[in-house]
Amino acid sequence: MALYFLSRYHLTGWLRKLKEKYQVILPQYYEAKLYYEKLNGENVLSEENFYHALRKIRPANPLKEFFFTPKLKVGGLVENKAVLVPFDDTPRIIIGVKNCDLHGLRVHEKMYLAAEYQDPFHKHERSRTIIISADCPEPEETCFCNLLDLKPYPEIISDIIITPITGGYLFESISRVGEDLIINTDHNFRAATQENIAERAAIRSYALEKLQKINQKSLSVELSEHIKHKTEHEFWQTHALSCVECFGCLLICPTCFCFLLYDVPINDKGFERYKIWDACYYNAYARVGGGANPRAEFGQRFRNRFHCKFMNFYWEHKFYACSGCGRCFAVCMGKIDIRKILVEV
Amino acid sequence: MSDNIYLPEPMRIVRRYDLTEDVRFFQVRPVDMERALKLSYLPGQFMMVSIAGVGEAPFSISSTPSRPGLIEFGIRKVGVLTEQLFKLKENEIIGVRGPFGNGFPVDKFKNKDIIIVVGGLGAVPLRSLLLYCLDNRDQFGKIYFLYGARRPAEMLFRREFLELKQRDDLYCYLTVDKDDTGRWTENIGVVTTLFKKLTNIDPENTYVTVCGPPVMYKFVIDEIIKLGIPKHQILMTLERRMHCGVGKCGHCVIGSIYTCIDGPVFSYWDVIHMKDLI
Repeated sequence: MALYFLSRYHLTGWLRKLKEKYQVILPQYYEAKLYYEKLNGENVLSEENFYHALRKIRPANPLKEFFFTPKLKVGGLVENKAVLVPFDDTPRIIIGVKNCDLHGLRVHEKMYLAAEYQDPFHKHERSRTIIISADCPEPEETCFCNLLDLKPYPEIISDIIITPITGGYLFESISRVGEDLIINTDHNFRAATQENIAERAAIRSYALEKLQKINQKSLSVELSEHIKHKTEHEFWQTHALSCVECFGCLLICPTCFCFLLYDVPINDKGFERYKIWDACYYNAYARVGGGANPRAEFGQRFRNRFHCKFMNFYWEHKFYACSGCGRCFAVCMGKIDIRKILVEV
Repeated sequence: MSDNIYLPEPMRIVRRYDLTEDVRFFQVRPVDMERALKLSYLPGQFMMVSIAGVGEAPFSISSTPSRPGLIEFGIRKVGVLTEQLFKLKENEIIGVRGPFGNGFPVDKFKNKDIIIVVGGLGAVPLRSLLLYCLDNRDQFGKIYFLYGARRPAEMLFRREFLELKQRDDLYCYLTVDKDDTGRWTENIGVVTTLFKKLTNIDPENTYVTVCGPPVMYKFVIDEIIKLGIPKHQILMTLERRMHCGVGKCGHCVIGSIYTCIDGPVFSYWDVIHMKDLI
């Protein structure tokens, strides 16, 4: 909608004003690592940290945590009466979301909202959230969003996009809500100059170039077909060999949406039902009551992950259920690089 | 169903008895009578049954929507949840979600002949279809019911099906692999041996539905193909680990198919085009 500039000096003032009305979540440093964290009285807000955090790649924890917590109470039945879970209505703002995490959110949107049945919890979390996304000026060795036709700057979902530039921040309001947040919360915003805009363009083309250097081998345009025809069990088995089956890659993945429902009894009076993150690598994941297991071997389950992300989801929605964030091999103890498999397939 | 797709509704067990040594029949009803009468479903659909703190699992509905008010299940004792289910008595409450799944396309069956082929526990979902067709008898052509069990004692709803043999608007053929009682008056042999009784089939005008143990499918389908029935008119209900029931959690995925919303009823055409379906 419009472009604004806010100086580094005025940033903390603006964030403080946001905090009065909203719960604010932004990337924070912990021992040189970034995490999405709620802003509260304890973590000190320093502009210096914020500036550097925005220039880094995505935080270590996936954004999905805030829309689908690892363990979420979804209801229950106590003394034959439905237990209703109260919704938290506090409006909130998530700042510094990179395009890879936005893409993860888009996948969850397709699964949880744009289907026959809607997930009421995801719907509610989305409705109370304003998203302020950020450019990703310095892609790192683990990044590969360019291979999946994604850009190192926000393209979707955001209400506002921020780019850290010399002396301050460039704000681009995308939605009406975002525009309101800029013009009605602070009077220190001024219209962006042509110079500011040119600087952002330069930052973006630098990031794109850097990504191209990191990932020189591009993926086939017919990736989904290649995966479909890669039926040899040995291929998947060989690549899965070094996997230690910790399933960290699936839990930390911003696009993985599988879950398990389980009940906790409440003093013989009934139960509460929880929805927790699940991973398709578990042996019992697809096992049926009688004991038959359609994916009994690990190689089959390993292949299933690629089928899910790069084939079935792609056929259904015309984009991959992978955002190129690189968390899966940043976390991998077996050093399995998903890029290598995608290129080889 | 309420807005919260994960929340079960309380249902009361109103009747239960053993069908065989390890399969028990459960008749349940939503605690709220108004809801009980409104609950509609299709033959072939399933529901998620849960017991407080034990777990939840999918079970095929065995009753027919043409007789509303009560939901019936035939449940085999195989695991933790079913073991607990077997301990429950009348008037106890269980949690139920659903109905889920696509069910049989009964509208397409109208004015067509129907062959129902059942092996073992497959009688549970297909009894729903059979009773539905019989309750709406004027809407369908000829109805054939072929059921094979291992022994007479393992035949589910044995008395009910034997009584059906008295009817003149249905061809009901029952068989057992082995008669250990010496009093079995019906056919002896596997279910495919009943196919020789099917004469004068009009293939283009016939739908076949199959449900049974995995080993049965290949042999039965060979016989059906011999009858010349088109592949898209052969329907089967498949078993996968349905968990959320609403196409979200990922457990029942086969390729791009979510068994819980795209199935559990698939045509033979789907099956030969999808790897790993059976």
